[in-house]
Amino acid sequence: MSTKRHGATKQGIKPSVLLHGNLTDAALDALAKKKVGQVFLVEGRPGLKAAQAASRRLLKRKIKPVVVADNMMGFLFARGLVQEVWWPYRVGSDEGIVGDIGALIAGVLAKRHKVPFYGFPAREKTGFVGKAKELLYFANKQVVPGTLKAYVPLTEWLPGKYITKVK
Amino acid sequence: MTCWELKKAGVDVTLIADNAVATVMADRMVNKVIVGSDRNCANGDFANKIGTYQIAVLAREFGIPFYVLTQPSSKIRSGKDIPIEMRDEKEILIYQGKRVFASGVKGLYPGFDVVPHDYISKAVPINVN
Repeated sequence: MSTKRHGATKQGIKPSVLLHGNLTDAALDALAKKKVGQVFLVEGRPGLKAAQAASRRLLKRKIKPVVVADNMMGFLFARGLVQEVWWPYRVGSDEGIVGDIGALIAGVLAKRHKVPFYGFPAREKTGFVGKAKELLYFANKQVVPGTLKAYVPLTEWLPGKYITKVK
Repeated sequence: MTCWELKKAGVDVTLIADNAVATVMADRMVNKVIVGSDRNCANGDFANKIGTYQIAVLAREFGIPFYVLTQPSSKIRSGKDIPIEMRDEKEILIYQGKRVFASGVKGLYPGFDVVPHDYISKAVPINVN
């Protein structure tokens, strides 16, 4: 652990909403009304398209996205940087949601850290399982050596006990 | 690198994205978790590559044993005393010289997580020499 040793707060990072980019314009408008100023936006692998599009849609609404990798959610919760989670779902009811992948990580962390988790209808609802190539290649370049199996779920079940409200 | 080493050791490897960890645990495809550690504390807390904390929390949630390979040390009292390296945001925002997110977007890249000792099922000391 060398080089720069400074905390998130020294980078001007404040506690805020953690969200996945596959939210509708209506959800982003509701976020803008809260005057949050800044949000944490997960990459949402394997593709970056939802996060890339969401970052532009957030900037239009004067909300500054701070992009984090999917494996950084735990860090944000552990440091008290997440105030709410807004996550997209394909299908939802009081019993739970079929959310975009990562929903279960965010849900478990939210429950563990007593942070509200809100489910919102997803903007893009196609694709439940991705192709191995989506994970093994990035920007048309192979990122792991040789031949390798990959499992690429794009959605997952999040039981209602982790959810504050399905909107 | 880990894929290459595991395949060399004859292990059947299936790659998943970081955001698919919970779903493979919930679907009972994982029966134990083994992680390394970059720094170890006197009270058993440890620091490891980013992503380790959420895996530890998920393992606890789904009742999966969580093992950490350690190099025991008493130089650091607890995880609170470990400074975390914040890496350059370019590592999130730029890929092969090209910016992948719009101008105005910030990135945050903590390099490590600290995992409290109470998430550990068993610490396994290793000799690195």
